[in-house]
Amino acid sequence: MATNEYQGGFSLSMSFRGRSLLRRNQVVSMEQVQEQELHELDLFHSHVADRLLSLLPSDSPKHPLENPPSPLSLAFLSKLLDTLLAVEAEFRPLLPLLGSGPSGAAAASRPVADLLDRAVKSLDLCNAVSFSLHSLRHWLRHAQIATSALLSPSPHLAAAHLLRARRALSKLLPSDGASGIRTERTGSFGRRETNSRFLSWSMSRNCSAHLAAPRGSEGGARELAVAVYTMSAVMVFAMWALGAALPCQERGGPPVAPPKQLPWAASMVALQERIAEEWRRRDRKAAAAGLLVELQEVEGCGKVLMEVVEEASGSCAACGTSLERERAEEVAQRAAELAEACRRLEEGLGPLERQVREVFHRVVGSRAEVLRSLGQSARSTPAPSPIAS
Amino acid sequence: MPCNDRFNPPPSLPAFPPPLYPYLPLLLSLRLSSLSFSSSSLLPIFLLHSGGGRPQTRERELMEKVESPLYQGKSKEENIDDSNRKFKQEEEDKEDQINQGREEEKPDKEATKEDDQGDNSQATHSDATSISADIDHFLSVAGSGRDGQNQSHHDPPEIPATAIERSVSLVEKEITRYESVAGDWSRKSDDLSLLDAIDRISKFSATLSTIFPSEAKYVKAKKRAGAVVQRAMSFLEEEFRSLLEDSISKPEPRSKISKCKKPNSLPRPNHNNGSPTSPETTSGSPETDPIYPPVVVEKLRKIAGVMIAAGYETECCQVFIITRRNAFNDSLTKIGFQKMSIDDIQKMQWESLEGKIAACIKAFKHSITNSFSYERELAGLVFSGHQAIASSLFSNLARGVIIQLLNFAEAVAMTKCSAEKLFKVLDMYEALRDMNAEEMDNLFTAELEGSSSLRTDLQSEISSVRSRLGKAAVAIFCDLESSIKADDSRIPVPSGAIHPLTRYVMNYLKYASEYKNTLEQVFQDHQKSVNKSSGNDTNSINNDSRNFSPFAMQFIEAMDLLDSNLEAKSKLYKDPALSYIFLMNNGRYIMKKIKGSSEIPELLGDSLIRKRSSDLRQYHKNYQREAWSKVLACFKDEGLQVKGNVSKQMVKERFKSFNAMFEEIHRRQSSWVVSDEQMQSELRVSVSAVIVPAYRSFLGRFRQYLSSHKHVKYGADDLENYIDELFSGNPSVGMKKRT
Repeated sequence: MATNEYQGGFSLSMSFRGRSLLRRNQVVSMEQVQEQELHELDLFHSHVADRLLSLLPSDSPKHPLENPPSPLSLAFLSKLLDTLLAVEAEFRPLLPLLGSGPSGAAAASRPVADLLDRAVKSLDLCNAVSFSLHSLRHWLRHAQIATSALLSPSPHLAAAHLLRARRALSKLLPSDGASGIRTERTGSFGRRETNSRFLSWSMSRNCSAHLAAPRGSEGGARELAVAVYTMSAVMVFAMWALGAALPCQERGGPPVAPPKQLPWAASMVALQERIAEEWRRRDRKAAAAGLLVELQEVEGCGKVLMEVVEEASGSCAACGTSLERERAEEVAQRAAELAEACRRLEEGLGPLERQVREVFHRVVGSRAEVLRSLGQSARSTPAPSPIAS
Repeated sequence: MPCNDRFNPPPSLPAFPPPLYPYLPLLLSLRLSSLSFSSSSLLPIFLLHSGGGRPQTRERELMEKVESPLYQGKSKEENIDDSNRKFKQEEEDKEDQINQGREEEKPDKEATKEDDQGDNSQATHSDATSISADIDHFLSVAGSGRDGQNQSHHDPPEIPATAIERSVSLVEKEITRYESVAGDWSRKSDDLSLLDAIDRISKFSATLSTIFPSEAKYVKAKKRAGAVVQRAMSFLEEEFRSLLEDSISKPEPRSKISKCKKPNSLPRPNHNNGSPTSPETTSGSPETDPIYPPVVVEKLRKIAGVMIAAGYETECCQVFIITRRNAFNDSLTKIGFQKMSIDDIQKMQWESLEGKIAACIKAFKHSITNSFSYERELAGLVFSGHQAIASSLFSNLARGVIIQLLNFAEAVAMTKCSAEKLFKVLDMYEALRDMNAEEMDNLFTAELEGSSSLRTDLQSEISSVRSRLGKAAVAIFCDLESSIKADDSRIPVPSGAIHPLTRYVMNYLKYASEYKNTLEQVFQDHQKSVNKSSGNDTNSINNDSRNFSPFAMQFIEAMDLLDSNLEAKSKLYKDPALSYIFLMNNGRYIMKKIKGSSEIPELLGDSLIRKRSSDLRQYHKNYQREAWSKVLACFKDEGLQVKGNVSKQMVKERFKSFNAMFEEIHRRQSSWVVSDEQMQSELRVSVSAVIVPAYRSFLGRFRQYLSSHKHVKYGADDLENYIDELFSGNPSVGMKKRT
C-alpha cells in the first residue's frame, strides 16, 4: 500500500525534473548555476522521500512473525529524529538560494515565515520533551523501587517488601484515574506531587497547526518554496510524533496531510496514519500520559504487578505467614517483567534526551541560517503567517 | 576476617559473627541516642557475648541512669528486657504479640533488668555524661572480648522473639504516635533516639536475614521487624520531605547551616563577595535564600543515613531532589524568573521582556554565586558519607536550572533584532562569559567521573548560547546602520537645532562604548559570520582599517553614516546659512558626546577627532560666508563714488540696504537655535568681530556725507548688542531702536 503510494510520488518526482528541463528550454538565459540549483532541489526532495520511506516497515519483513516496530517506540523516535537531522543537513546548503536573486525571498516568503514560526514552536516542543524525558527518569524510580524490593532475596521479609512495593507502585500509577495531566503542584503551598511524571511546561499551542503548502504558478522559485515547505513539514511531523509519544502538556491533532504530488507525501501520510491508528487504539487516559510503547509497557507491567502485589499482601495479611510459593513466584515474575520494561525504557531515555537536545541546537542554528540567508538577520523577521497565530 | 569486616556497614555483612542473642536487647535498645550509628557500633555487641557476662553492678548503675530525667518521657516506652531466661520463657509462651499497654505497665520492672547500654556510641557527648563512663567500660569489655575471638557460625544462638517484638513494638508505637501528621515528629522532637532505634532495628533485621537466612524460628521475628522497618521508612520518608519542605527559613545573619564538625560548614547563601558584578543585592533582598537551620540539617543527615543504610536510598533521593528542585524554582520565581515558552518570548513586547531578561541575569548570577554552592554543600552534608549520591543529586539539580536559564537566553537571542535590545543582550552575554571554567570547576568538582562530563556538557551548552547572544549583539549593533539609513524624513528640524537622530545615535553609541570591551570581543568572535553575506559597504574607513578593531570599524561606520545622513538633512534648509548652523549644532553635539566619553576617543582615534574639529571650523566659516558676505559687501568703497566724488545718494542707499539686510538677518537668525552656549558665544563674537569693525569704519568714513542721520539707524555698539541676540531661538525679539 505504502509502496504504491510512494511509486506515485516517485513518478511525480520525475515530473519535477521534467519541469526543470522544460524550463531550461524555455528560458534561454538560464545559467548553469541555476540548473545546478534546481538539480539540488530535486535531489533534496527525493532524499526526503527516501528517508521517510525507510521509516515505514518494509512490505516483506525478514521475520514475518515479528510485528513491525511501533511508530511510537524509542527506536522509531530515534530514527525519526535522525531523519529530521539528516533532512535539515541537506536543507541547509539550499539556504543561500533564498537570498539569491529576486525570486528567492519574494516567492518563498510565506513558506519561510512558516518555517521560522514552526522552528520556534519546535524548540518549545523539544524543551517540553526534554523535560518530560527527565521527569520520566524520576518516575521510573518508583518502578525500580518496587522491583528491587520484590526481587530481593529474603523471602521472610516478603510482607515488608510488598508494602514497600505497593507504596512505590501507587506513586508510579496515579490512583485518581483522572485523565488530566498532573501539574507539578497540587496546591499553591505545601505538599507537592512526588509523582514527577507530569510536570507542567508552558508550551505554545497549536504546535502542529495547519501548515500551508505552497501553491500557485510554475514560478521560478516554486521548487525552492516547496523545499522550504518540505523542511517545515518534516519538522512539524517529527515534533508531532514526539509530542504524541511523550507526556507533554500540549498536543495537537495530526498535521495536515501534505499535497499528494510531493514525492515524500505518501510516506509521510502513511507514517502519520500509523501513529494516529496507534493513538486510536489507546484510550484517552493513556494518550494523555504519553503513547510511547516503552512507557506504556512500564505502566502496563506496573498495573499487573500492582494487582498481584495487592492480592499477595491481602493473603499475607490474612494468614500471617509467608507467601505461598506459587504466589511468590508470580510476584517475582511480574516484578521481573516490570524490571525488564524499566530497563528498556531507561536505556532509551539517555540517547533520546541527547538527540532531542541535538535537534534543539540544530533547529536554532537552522533558523538563524534562514534569517541570515534572507539577508534579514539584522532586519525584522517576516511576519508570522496569519494561520499560525 | 570478621574483624576486618567490621567497618563495613550492614546490611551486607556476610561473615558477621553470629552469637548475638544474649545481648540482643542492647542491640535493640532505644534508649541511647547515638548520633552516629555504624557497623562499628553494632559489632562489639555481638562480640560481647562470648566475652562473658557482665558484673551485676553495671546493671544496677544503668538502671538508675534509665530513670534519670534525661530519659523521662521516653524511658517508659523504651525499656528493654535483657533477661535470657525471661526471653526464653516468653518465647515458649508464644507471646509474640506484645501489646503496648502491657509494655507500659511494667516499665520499672523492665528497667531494672536493663543491661549495659548496648551501644558504643561515639557521640556520647550528646548524652548524659554520666553514661559515658559506662559506655567506655562497655567498649573496653567489648574490645577485650573481641580479641582472639573465634566467631564461627556453627553454634547459632537463640534469639528471644519477645525481645525483638518488644523493641520493634516500641519503635512502632513511636511511629504511630507521629505518623498521622507528617512532619509531626521532626517538628516536635529534637530527640534523635527514634532514628537510632529505627536504624538499629533495620540493621538487626538485615543482619538477621543475612546470618539466619533460613532459620525457621526467626521467621516471625524477621517478618515483624521487616514490616516495622518498612513502616518506619515510609514514616522517615514523610518526615524527610516535611523537614525539607517546611523547615526552611530565612537565615539569621552569619548563621551557619551546621554546627557539626564538618570542615565545610555552609556559608550563608546571600554573601555578596563584594563582587562588582552583582549589583542586584540592593533592596528587597530576595537574595537571601531561605536555609535550613543546623538542627534540621543534622536531622536530615541522620534520616538520610538511616534510610540509605536500610536500602531506601532511592526513596530518600527522590524526595530530596524533588523538594530541592521545587524550592530552587521558587527562589528563581521570587527573583522574578519564570519559565516561558520560546514562542511567547518571541511575541513579547520589549518592555516586558526587558524586565524578564534582567530577572534572568539576576537569577543566573545568584544561582552561580550563591544558590549552587549552598545546594552542593547541603547535599554534601545531608548525604555525608555518600559522596556519589550527593554529587549526583547536586549535578542533577544544577543542570536543570542552568539549562532552564540558558533556554531563556537562547530564546532572547532569537528574538527580532532591534537596537534597544543590545544592552540587555550584552548583559546576558557577560553573565554567561563570567560563568567561566573556574566557576564551573568550583561547582562541579571533578571528584566523580559523572560530574566532569556534566561540566563539559554544560560548558558547551553555555558557550553555544553565549555565541548566539554574541551573534545577536553583533547583528543588533550592525542594525544601527540600517536605522540610520532608514531615517530619511524630508522635514527639517526647525531653527537648525540638534536632530533627534543625532541624539539617539550618539546616546546609543555612547552607551555601546561603555560595553566596549565586550563588544570588541563579540565582534572579534562573531562579526565574520554575521557580516559575511551582508556585503560591507566599502567606505573610506575600510581603506585604512588596519588600525581599527572590527568593533571600532563598525562604530566609525555608524558615525560616518550619521554624518552623511545629517549632511543630507542639512540640504533640506532653504537658507544655506541655516544648513551650516544645523551642521554645527549637530557636529558640536556629537563632539561633546565624544569628548564626554572615555571610550569613544579610544575607538575613533585622534585623527578622526581632529578631522571632526576641522569640519566644525569649516562649517563656521561657511556660515559666516553664507550669512554675512552680502552684508560686508555694503561696506565696500567701490560704487559709492560718482565721477570721483562720494555720492550722497549712494551712501544713503548703502545705509538703507545695510539696515534692511541686518534687520532681516537679525529677525531670522535670532530665531535660530544654537544650544551650546560656548558655540553660541563663539558665533556671536566671530560675527561681531567681522561686522562691527567694518561697520564702524564705514560709519566713520561715510556718515559725514549724509545730511541727516535718519538712515544711520544703528551705532556700532548697537550692532554688537543685536548680534548678541542671534541664535537665541527667540523669534519674538524685535529690532528696537536703541540709543
